[in-house]
Amino acid sequence: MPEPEDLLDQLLGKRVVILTGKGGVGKSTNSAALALIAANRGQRVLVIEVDAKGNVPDFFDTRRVGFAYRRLHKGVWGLSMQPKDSMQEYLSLMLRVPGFSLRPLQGFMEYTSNAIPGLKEILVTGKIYYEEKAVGEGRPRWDLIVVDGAPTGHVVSQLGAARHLAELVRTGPIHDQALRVADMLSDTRRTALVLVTIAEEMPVNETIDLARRLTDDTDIVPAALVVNQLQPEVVAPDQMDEFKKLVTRDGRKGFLARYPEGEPLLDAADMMLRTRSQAEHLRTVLRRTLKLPTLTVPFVFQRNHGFAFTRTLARALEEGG
Amino acid sequence: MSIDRFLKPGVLILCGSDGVGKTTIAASLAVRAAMREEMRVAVLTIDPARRLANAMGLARLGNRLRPVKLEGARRAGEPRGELVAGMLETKSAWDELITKQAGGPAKAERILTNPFYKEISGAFVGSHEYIAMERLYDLEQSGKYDLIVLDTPPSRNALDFLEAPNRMTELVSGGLLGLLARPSMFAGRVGLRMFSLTAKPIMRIADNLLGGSTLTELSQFLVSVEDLYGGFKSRAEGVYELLGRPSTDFLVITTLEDVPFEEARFFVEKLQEAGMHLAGAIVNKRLPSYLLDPAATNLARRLVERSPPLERALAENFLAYRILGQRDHDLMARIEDLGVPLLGSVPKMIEPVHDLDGLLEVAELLVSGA
Repeated sequence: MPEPEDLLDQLLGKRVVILTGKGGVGKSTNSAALALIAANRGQRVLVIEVDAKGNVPDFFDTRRVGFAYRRLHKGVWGLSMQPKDSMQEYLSLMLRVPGFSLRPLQGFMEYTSNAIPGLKEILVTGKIYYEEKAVGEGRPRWDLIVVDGAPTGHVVSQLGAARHLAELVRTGPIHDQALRVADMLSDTRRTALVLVTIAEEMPVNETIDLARRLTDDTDIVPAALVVNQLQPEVVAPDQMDEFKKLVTRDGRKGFLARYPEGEPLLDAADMMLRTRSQAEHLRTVLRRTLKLPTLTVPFVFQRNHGFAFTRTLARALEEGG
Repeated sequence: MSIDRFLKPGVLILCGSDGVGKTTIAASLAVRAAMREEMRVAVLTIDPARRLANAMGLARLGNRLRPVKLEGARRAGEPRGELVAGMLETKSAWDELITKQAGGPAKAERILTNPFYKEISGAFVGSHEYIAMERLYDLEQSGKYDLIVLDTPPSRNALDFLEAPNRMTELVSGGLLGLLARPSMFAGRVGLRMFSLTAKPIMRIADNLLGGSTLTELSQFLVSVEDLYGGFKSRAEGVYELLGRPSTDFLVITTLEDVPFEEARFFVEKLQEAGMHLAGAIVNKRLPSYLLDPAATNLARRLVERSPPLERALAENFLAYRILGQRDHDLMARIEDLGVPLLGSVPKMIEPVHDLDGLLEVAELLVSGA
């Protein structure tokens, strides 16, 4: 398995990196941090937000973006998917529908897309494909596209949609385009799917379940796992036993004799140690079941999720935990 | 005001952001209700959390409801009621629904094997929310249960489940079917006659884009489900009637973190707009208040300055956690912003709940920690 640093290099060497995970595990913050690392290394990066939440710009302390990309930071641009705009762009740019019939057709297609499931999802993956192919000044417009992807519950249908749609619609431009999108998504040289989780029971179970569904229902193989929000090392590993002694039994009594007001410190340490041992157990489970190259990210004890947070997280990611 | 007030005959629906612990709280409340009251209680969860199934003594949760052996709990003495638990499996629930509604095995088979049906039942966003409402309606109609506790799916759009029945009716009903394939129009290429003359080329383009037979196949599918329309429509009406009943209560679950908290506010607003009855809010994963203890804080600040490495680590760890404790405290102070009464809170559990007693303990903490 590659070392964290190589793994990060590998990911940043792709054209498209898609992050997914259960709600609340830090998909968006890690997308922002990954984009920042790439930009700091001189890449032109586009962040695409798939969910309508649209808060990635917050992590660069800048105002929210719409469907047209805008610069968020030096080297980082962002856009967020909007169903209406994306349908129009899909029809005109990707399927080359002539302008005069665009408006009535758009209405019809929006309607139809309720019944042909893959159609809505392909607007998203189709957009990723379109930006991957986009050219500016004689070279690809983006060195790297980071996708703040759908949560675990939706990502399989979203990423699998292109392949399904190509099967459902068997000829014509939608079919052809869907095939190209599906090929891009399953091409491990171009695209990396990254599963983000935290070392807690439910997110870990969901991640394992997601990996299984990806295997069963798609031809996409995840490239890496990010375990986010791990308790940081409070002491060097060789001092851990001493630290544990300090906060249990006699050590605890001794500490309280010296500092009678110190009980909360011991309790907070106990909470940290128990959290760590839970996390260690779950990491073993992840390692055994998923066998994926893994980046670990320490918990960032910081309140606001602005640019300062993104910078700290980026540093933590680069250090590999 | 205690949560116990809401453990009464009717329906209890839990909403909240992904990861706030809805499923555990739903199971805890259901177990408590069945232990304490002479009620037949059903809990329907979304998460495939095997641990929770195990906690209730089941190997796993399936689409079929299974009885929970409450005698396994040591904490609360003799159970007075009964409890069944099940999980929502979208695909099998859909198949069941179609089989029941299609009006004959041959018709059902035709729908179940149609490629569009397979896509719709599995993939289409909202199908999960829809089927959750379906199951709820079914359980209620069966008359077998006094209290039904439902844990809602983590939706991309927070309240998809409120809109799902209507959207489904729309899909199956008039709209598309009218456009494409009223049986009377079903001659040659799909429903062209429905369109005015100016719209004709559009259909041709659409047909072209979608490739030869797609629209035809789609129309065939829609024709085959047309019979279901009446059923879907009346059921959707039934679901809305059930959701709006005075005996149906909504609980909003949140943690004291910015994103779930904002989401909880949004839930409250939307539920109120929809005229639903909001019982109140529950705060989960609360951090201990000792993290803000002033004397301990002073000590920690002193120890990080000058002390042996181990004591410094102890102090640093405390101060790091204190940041989170402060966030908890600040958001708790804003709890009134949610606009609904706080019914109780549960402290953060580090080790996951793994048996009935654990679930009962969560419920007790919830009642005592109001």
